[in-house]
Amino acid sequence: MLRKFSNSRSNSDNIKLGALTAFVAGMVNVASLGLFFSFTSNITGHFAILAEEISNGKWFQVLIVLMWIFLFFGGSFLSNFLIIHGNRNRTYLTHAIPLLLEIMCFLAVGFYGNYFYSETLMETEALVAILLFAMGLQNGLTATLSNFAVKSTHLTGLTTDLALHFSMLTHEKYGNNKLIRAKIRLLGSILLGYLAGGVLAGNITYFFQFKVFFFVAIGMVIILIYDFSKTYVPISLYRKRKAQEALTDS
Amino acid sequence: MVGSIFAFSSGLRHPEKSILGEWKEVYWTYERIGKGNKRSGDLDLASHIKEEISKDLIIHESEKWKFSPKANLILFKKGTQPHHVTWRLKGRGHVLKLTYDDKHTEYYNIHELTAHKMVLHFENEVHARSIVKIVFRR
Repeated sequence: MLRKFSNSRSNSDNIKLGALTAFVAGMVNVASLGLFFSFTSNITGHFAILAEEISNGKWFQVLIVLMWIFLFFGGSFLSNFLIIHGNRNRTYLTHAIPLLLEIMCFLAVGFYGNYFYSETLMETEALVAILLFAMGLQNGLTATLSNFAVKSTHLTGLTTDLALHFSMLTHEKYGNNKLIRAKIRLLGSILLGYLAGGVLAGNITYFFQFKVFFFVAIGMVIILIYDFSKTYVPISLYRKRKAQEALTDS
Repeated sequence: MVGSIFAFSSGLRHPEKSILGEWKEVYWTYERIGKGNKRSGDLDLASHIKEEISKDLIIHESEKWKFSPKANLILFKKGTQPHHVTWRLKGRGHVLKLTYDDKHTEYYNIHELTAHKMVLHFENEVHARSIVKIVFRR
């Protein structure tokens, strides 16, 4: 999922990456809505709120929403920055750093929320900011790795794309086009992943409260381990086999 | 940029500070959301309707609200003992959360909060689906 870059990725790679990260984004968004009364993966909504707060002259809220949007921007910027400036020979490691940072964000929010959160507005603003940064990191990572095919938190664009691709199927020229069908599978999995994550979070946040972010972090660790096993285990097996062949030859 | 936003915002009136002090309930109104979401405009609430809407709410029949810094809200009504409730602001300071002793919780949207006026909104479905507005003055 993570080790391949841009055009070397298959649709199946993108489906795995998109569905899993969208699942996480859906969970985080609904959990933060329940815990903080604020979305954390819906930047379109934050822009709408920003416009509303400006028109109402609520300047404190304007600055807070601006800061949140900027942190999402910062997360996406950092993800892409780390990947394009990272070591091309160690793609797994380079691509894993944004995910590691994201996991750290989730653990920080989960840990603080669970043990220290006293529900002051400043704490709420800061925790929402950390989650928006994490979502920016994730969206930046998935978009960069998939050559902009996967954006796990961009449901407006996704629904538009899905509608366009479905409408193309109605044309005889594109009806059996494999690329269009593959794209629909990808977009559909992202959408379902996001929805499933949101539904799950909606059901468990009331009981687990901030521990939900620990579950999210565990999910991200599973993604990392899965990819690690796909990247390094085959390499080490290949090296072992080569070494054995060399021994038997000598 | 984040630092400068924090620095600049500290110069502005923080909602948690703006809300502190005593507020007097001035009036309740509601916007009815009828079929097809048509709104019939603001209507003053008759006292018996207000009573019915608020009978299960923490804020029931309170005339004066006093917000203290340590999340303590005291609700006053003439001739009765004051009521202590925990208050917190959520979101970007646009949601007021009130928690009762038995952990029962209520949420109100802060529609307006200035130095002299506060307007809270909440949805209710007692008679017809409507948004109830409570207007306060200092």
